[in-house]
Amino acid sequence: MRSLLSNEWMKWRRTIKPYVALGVYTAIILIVYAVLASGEGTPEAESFFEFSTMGAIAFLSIFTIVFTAEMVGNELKFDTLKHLLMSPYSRDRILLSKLVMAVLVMLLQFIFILVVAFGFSLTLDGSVTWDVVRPILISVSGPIFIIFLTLMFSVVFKSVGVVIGFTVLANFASSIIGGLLVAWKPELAKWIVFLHTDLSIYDVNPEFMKAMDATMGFSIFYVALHIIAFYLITAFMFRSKTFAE
Amino acid sequence: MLSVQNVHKKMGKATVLTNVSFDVIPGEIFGFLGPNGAGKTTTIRIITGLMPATHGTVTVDGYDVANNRQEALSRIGAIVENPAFYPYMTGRENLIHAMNLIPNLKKVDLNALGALVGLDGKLDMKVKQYSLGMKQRLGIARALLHNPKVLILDEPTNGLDPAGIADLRNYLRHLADHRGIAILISSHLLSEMELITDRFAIIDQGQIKSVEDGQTKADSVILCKVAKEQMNEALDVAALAFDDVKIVQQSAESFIVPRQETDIPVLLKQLIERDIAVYQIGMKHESLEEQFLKLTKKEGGTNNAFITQQ
Repeated sequence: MRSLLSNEWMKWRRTIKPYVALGVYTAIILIVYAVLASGEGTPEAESFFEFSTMGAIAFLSIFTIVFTAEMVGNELKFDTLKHLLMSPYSRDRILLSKLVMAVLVMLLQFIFILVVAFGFSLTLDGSVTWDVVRPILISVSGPIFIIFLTLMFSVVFKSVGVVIGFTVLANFASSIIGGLLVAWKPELAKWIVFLHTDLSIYDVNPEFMKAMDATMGFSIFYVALHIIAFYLITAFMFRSKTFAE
Repeated sequence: MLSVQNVHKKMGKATVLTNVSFDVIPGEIFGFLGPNGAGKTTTIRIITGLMPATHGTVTVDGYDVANNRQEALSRIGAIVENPAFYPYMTGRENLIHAMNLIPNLKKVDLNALGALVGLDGKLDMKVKQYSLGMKQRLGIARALLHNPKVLILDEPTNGLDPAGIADLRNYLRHLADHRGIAILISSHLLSEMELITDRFAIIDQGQIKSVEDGQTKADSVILCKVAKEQMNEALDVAALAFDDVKIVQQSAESFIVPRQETDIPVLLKQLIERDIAVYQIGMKHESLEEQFLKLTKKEGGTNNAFITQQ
């Protein structure tokens, strides 16, 4: 298993995209820093940390979709999937190695964002408290859900573009529709899983979830249920597809 | 070493393979010959575990590919269709990737392996800078990385220049003779197969038409060319000399006698005694290609789709 993980790591690390992603996060954090610094007085470390990480994490979601979609999509594009499937390792393990690496890669970027933002916040007034950090840490549930969703689409569709399109559409469109539905028919909106994926909402905007009569426990359960179902579908498809023209 | 027994494959309603059976023994180069779409790649996909057979078995060194996947596939090295690599990584990284796909593999000397396939000094180039021939070599290096007992090469000469093909041929011969690897090669390039294989199976429309020994593969006949106006006389002479075989007139000035090389002096002597002007006489070997066309044509085969390259 470790050798499969090191393969996935090598394939990810050797492209240019990881550096682009890290560059984008740094740029966002710098932009937030510059904007706050240009205002009157010295900006607070807390609000800088909150805004800059939120901005960067929005991009993290997008990059996570791209990286995860490419983990399977590039194997199809380069026709290298056959070598993975010819390996004595089972298809289940090959798929699991991709899932685990997708999560690890996302977490690394997440930590990178937190560390860089924290570093800059040290130059500002005040200090970053646990109350600010906590919801940001919890918000990692969003990208984790995205990984499972993207992985499922990526074994269904051949083209990376289609996978990315579908995931973005599913993710953002249903959040918007769900958001509208909350005001109108909250009892229905409760069953839209995309409204539950970012668990930090219970810290940031608890009224929103209250309107739907949802609790943290329910959200965790409902998201976990989806994640498991997505993975079962993905594993089943990955096992049974021949991936031949 | 590699044994394919009664393999059937249905895809949807179409039957792609019918009762395909053959064995490849250690140290042998076995050819798998057929027009495009005959089922060569499907068979190879089944052998390499990429696709399940509808029924029938494939065993490698006694291990069943379907039931004992890890043991069976650890003994196979293969190039299926084109050699595919991660173009943005170096040859060395691609080989490391392949090493990591084999469980419990001991450390491999990649430089030695690179030198073996003629890629010394080029392993640290990105694969996108490789020529097709270099990719083929890297593909073979990858297939040999774990010392497989069975090597499977699907259309290995695609995109190689004549020198590259000759190199490959010698190299495969070396692997078969000195390391006892059982080698299965598929191709539609008949002339190439004739030179490279010990035995070959001809497959068309998903069925094995024949399995033949490379040594006795060519039917040989005597071809004789004489003056046009003496043709009838020459045919009479030949008919008298060899009354047990059918003599075939091939053109206005040549005819064929289905006899051995040792019969040439006999025929020549008789012709000269009758004052017939002989321009040419010798053995003509029916090429694999002619045999192949004969075999597949009989069954109303797919000769149109068949590409010959000399």
